[in-house]
Amino acid sequence: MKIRLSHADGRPLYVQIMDAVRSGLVRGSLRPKDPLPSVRDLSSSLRVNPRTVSQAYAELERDGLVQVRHGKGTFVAPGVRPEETERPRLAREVARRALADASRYGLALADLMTALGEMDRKVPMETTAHGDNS
Amino acid sequence: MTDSTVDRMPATVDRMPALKAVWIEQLRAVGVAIRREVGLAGVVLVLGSLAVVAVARMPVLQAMLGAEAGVLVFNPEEPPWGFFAVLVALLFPLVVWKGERRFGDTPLWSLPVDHRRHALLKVAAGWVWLLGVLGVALLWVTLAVLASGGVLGVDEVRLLIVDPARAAAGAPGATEPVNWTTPWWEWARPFTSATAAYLLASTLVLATARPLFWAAGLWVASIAVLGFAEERDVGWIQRNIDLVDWYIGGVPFTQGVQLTTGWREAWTLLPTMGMWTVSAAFWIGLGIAGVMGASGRPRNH
Amino acid sequence: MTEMVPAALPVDLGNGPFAVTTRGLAKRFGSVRALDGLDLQVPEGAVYVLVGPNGAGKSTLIRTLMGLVRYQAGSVDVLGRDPADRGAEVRAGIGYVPEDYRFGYAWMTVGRLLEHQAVYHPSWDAEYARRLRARYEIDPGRKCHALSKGQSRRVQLVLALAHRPPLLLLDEPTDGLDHVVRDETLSILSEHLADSPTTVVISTHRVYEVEPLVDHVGVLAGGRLLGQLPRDELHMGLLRYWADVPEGWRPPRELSGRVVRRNGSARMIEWTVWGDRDAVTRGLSEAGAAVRDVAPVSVDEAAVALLSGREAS
Repeated sequence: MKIRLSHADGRPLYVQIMDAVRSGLVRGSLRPKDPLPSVRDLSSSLRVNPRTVSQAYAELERDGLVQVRHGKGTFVAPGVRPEETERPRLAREVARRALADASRYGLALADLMTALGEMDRKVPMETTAHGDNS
Repeated sequence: MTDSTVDRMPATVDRMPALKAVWIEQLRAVGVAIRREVGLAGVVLVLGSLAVVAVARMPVLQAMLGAEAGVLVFNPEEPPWGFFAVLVALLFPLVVWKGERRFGDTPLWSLPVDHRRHALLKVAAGWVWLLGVLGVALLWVTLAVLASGGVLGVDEVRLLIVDPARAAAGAPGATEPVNWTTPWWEWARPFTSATAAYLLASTLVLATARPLFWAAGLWVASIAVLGFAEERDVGWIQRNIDLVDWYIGGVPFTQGVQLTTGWREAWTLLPTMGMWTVSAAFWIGLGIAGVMGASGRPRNH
Repeated sequence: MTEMVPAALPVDLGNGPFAVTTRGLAKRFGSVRALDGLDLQVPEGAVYVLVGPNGAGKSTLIRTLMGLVRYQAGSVDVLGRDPADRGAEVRAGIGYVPEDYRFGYAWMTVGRLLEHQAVYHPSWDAEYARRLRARYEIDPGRKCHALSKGQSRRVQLVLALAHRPPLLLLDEPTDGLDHVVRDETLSILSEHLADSPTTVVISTHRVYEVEPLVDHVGVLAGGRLLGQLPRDELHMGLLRYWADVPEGWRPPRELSGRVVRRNGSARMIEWTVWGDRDAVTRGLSEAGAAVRDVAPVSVDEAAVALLSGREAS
């Protein structure tokens, strides 16, 4: 699982970590029962406070996506169906951010839809590449 | 206080170092700090004494240098031995406290030891090293003198002035001869005078940000007092300054008298063990009081 | 001194437990008030960043907590003790990186300095010290006076961390470190926090260098706190609003005292405001402004907004 945090993102770091785990589930790099990196290793490699990672894992556990087994580590919950829940959820989150970005530039939802429709027909490769950057 | 605060209390006390460990570490750290300066002084001492011994033992060298042949006498009563010890002792605190910001951030004040206690431990560690260094130096000089065929101490007849008023005129009976052998405690005197000097210098180092400036000031002040005493002929100040000169510098209580046989050095006073113990107790006491007071100064603004 | 501007941001962190508290702490050097009635609260286990410009009183505060500076008024509690009279006990529980990198015995080798520190801290973890030394590529045979600023800082960090103290006081810890070493330091601190329960106070005027580690923020200026709050609350409560405004627009009165920083032009405002997002948006809209965007600010941006807003007032 590769995670990159952005301090320009504006969202709390723990939310960014949660999204990275979700994205891993959607893309299939994380599967049910897979172990997540330990809090120590992940916080060290991200250079963040270990509490931030613990918080992300705790929130994911509350959402039923992971299980924290004491003394053993954190694992993806066995019953997770990323295609059914996480894919639409992540898509909604990305759409919400795109919409916010559009409104910042004075664009409306319709402008965005039009642009997305054109892009999907003309440059499918580019969209794929963009979607795979995490 | 919350419960968790109370729970934490013993945990931090457990983290404090044992006094003995701190003492040993200060001894070691001061040893490292003084290494270079003491080494340098040691080289000078060894080369100097070897040269003296060589001259004393080799008539060829004596002839070359035009020096008189003679027997080396190592008499602790006379300068420069006592003075040398005091000089080393006065400079020693500067080396012991080398690199420490006595009024500022330094490891000494940031470590988990009470500031005053830590300062006193460092002064004590420096003192142990000072005595060690002086002991080795004295031993070396003694061995060098013996190796050159010299003698230790004196065994002589001294002229003691019993009637000062008539002695100046050279009147017979104003002086009398006294047999004198260097007493044992004269060998201890460099150590006690050095101890006092070290403590007083440490007081300045601990109490002031610019000890050399203050030392110079005190020196000028004492010269002024001395001048005043001479000018007004204040006897008690003069006597005490003579006593200090003797105690710290080994300056003998002598003056020249005109006898029928010619000019001679005569003694106004022969030192006694009582004079030594009282002087030592007074100056060391003053030094201890000074260090105790100065070590309690706040170490920051 | 200047009149007290009412703090736009909260300064009270509640009931604790706290590793460090001060109440009405005051320290003056001559006529300069370095600390001016400071109420610091550092929760146990927090990574608390103390932000402020040079001369804000950060170092004085940290040195007061170490028992290196005598304060004149107020009270101080560090790990349950007052450093003024139980300094040795307080220091036993602290790993300290002083502001000055020329610290320590110039004539000692680095190895000897580490040994020296180990004697004073019975909890010294020699194996950990060795690992840190290796990660920082510190040569124990070097004389301390031959170290560069960055090398000194690394040695100081090892001295502070290796006895695994319950409290770390780091005064400008990244000062003098190049990018790579700074990054390594953040990684080391992350692991340290994961391995040992520690409260950390980091003082800096460059928050962005330590930002990912921080979970509590105190903004210090003129010896007082302009704000003291958990980072999450800061991100939720302090937001930047972009809005189009009509010519001659007058801001709504209910926002007075909450606007931390005002930027923008005649037709567009870019305000950093403390308060509930919906309430602020509604307030702006009702006053005739068209809110185009709302975004959280980084800790660094928040500090800049607070400090520059203070200068403007």
